[in-house]
Amino acid sequence: MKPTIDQRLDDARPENTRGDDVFVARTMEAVGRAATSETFSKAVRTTSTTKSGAFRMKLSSYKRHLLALPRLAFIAIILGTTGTVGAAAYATYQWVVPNATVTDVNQNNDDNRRQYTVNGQCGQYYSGQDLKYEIAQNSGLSDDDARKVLQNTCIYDALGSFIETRFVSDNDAKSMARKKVGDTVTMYTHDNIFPGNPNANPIFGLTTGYVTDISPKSITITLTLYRVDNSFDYKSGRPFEYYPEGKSVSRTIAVAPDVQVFENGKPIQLSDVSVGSVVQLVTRTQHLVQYYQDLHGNGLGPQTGFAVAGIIKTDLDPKFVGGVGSEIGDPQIANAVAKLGPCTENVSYYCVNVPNQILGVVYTTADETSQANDKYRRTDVTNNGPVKFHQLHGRIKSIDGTKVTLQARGSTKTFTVDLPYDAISQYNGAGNALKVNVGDLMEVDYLQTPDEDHLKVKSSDLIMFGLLEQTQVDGSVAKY
Amino acid sequence: MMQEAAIIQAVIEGKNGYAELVERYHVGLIIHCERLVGDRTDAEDVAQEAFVKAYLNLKNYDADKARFSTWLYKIATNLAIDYLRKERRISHEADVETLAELSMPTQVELAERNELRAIVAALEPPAYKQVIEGYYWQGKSYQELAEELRVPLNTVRTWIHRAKEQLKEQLV
Repeated sequence: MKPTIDQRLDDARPENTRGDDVFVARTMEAVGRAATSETFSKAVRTTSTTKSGAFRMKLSSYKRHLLALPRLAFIAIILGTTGTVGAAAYATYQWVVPNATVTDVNQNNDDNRRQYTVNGQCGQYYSGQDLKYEIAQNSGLSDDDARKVLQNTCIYDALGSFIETRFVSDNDAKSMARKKVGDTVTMYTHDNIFPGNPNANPIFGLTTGYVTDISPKSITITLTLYRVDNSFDYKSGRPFEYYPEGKSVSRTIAVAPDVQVFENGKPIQLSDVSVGSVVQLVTRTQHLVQYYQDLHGNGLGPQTGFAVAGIIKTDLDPKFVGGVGSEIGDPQIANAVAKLGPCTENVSYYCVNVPNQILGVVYTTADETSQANDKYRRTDVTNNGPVKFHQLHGRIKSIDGTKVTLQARGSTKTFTVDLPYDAISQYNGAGNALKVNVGDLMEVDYLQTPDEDHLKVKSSDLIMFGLLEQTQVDGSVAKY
Repeated sequence: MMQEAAIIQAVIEGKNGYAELVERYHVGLIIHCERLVGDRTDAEDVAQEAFVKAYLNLKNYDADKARFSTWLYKIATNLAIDYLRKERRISHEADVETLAELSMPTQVELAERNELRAIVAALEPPAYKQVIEGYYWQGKSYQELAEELRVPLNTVRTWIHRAKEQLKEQLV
């Protein structure tokens, strides 16, 4: 087969051309840690938030992730997963720890699910406005459980939003980019323990467990791992195998002198935390020393000053803590709660932040993919032009070949969706565990201009057509 | 510059040198991953993971069966598929694999390679040359190029598209 122009350009890259030095350095750092790490998974999870703005890039690159953004952000601060957040001009970190409470329970909303209203101390932007959540069908959660999950969700969302909005910067990437091969770079984060000119991103993590020992200098917790990474098996093509483990482990972490401690959203003293308390520990790496990577493989220096910067005392059972991508927290519980919000550009209808299983109708944002449709290209070129991204969640009322009708959530309005081919029959016949039928909840992402009939989605409008789903305790998925 | 086989053997023996392989292949690999996962940031994560996995499994690499770059790209493709599956963004892996084939590494004759480099150097307007070299050879993202050239992101996208059209025409 004749090489594509992309392949030709890749092949023709001159040998003396400098590439992305930051990426090379970061990758070699991960390689170095992988070589010495007892578990490979921890090493490879240095996400590219080091090239920060990642959250914003995700937002702009594919708006389907809009509602899921808080969860994505939190993948970076869940145990075992470290993300970096930029240094900012703050002498100390002032954690935002909400005291979220459920103010209303609707046992039977318009889609026959229990629905909860949470007070304003919750949410991605901690805006003060009430938020609505619903519980997935067959979740098994009691009202009390649901309240606890929501309380935890609010803490995660608010903390992630705080980190994202205040600390993300490009300082570290820019600092590294200015250096030449062989230079040595010492990177400081800005805090009151290692004062210096900040040019790097502190690294944050979040873990939860029962306190088994505590002193002003260190804290030891035990926690249960619900999802553990198996070692990599390249031959199987399955690098990670997640499974409910229930393994109990103990971890001891230094306590930073300026640690901040909270309970129910209010500051308390470290002495108020005792053996047996359940705590969420916010950790940071305060001082990052990096020796610039050269072409002979000299490694990066160590990160130092790993310590607990914040402690959130809670009455939650740790099993309620966690979420998508977390190795702590019961995965079924963590995924049982879905935030309700207006659909993008379809604000009269409700959408929920749950994953979906795409039925093969997908036009990615990848440049020049063969599946990109004309509308998408038009949006690509005009950016903020008249074509807008639209999202809709609806229940299937009928399926007639390529024509599907959906009743929008939160409305009696019926949408018609013309699929470019008989995607439902093909999907149902492809051996997938789930079959799409009348009555199922679907997500439709599409592009239209404001003057087009928003109740009619043409095949040329479509970006994605997917079945809403929820994670089960064994890691399998069921219809949402 | 060391031969690839010598570098690989050195790394297997515990010596330094893997960074040279990362330096050599990272730009193309990130672009390959970007085509598959549709997002630059995610693509860099997948590419980084691929390099780490390749390093850990280097002893299993068989140079008689495939070039290192081909082996590396296949690791990345598998990781991308796994990533997309976790994100619930695919139902047909075959589509992704087909897409992956379009950006797997290839090798052309030296004369053809030099011809392409010469055509890139002569691209008009000069901004086309900048974006092609920046994206395909220097590892810059569209966003970085937009900031560097102080133009909207979609202008970079358009320039790259048009530049590639020029390249295609002149290569015929």
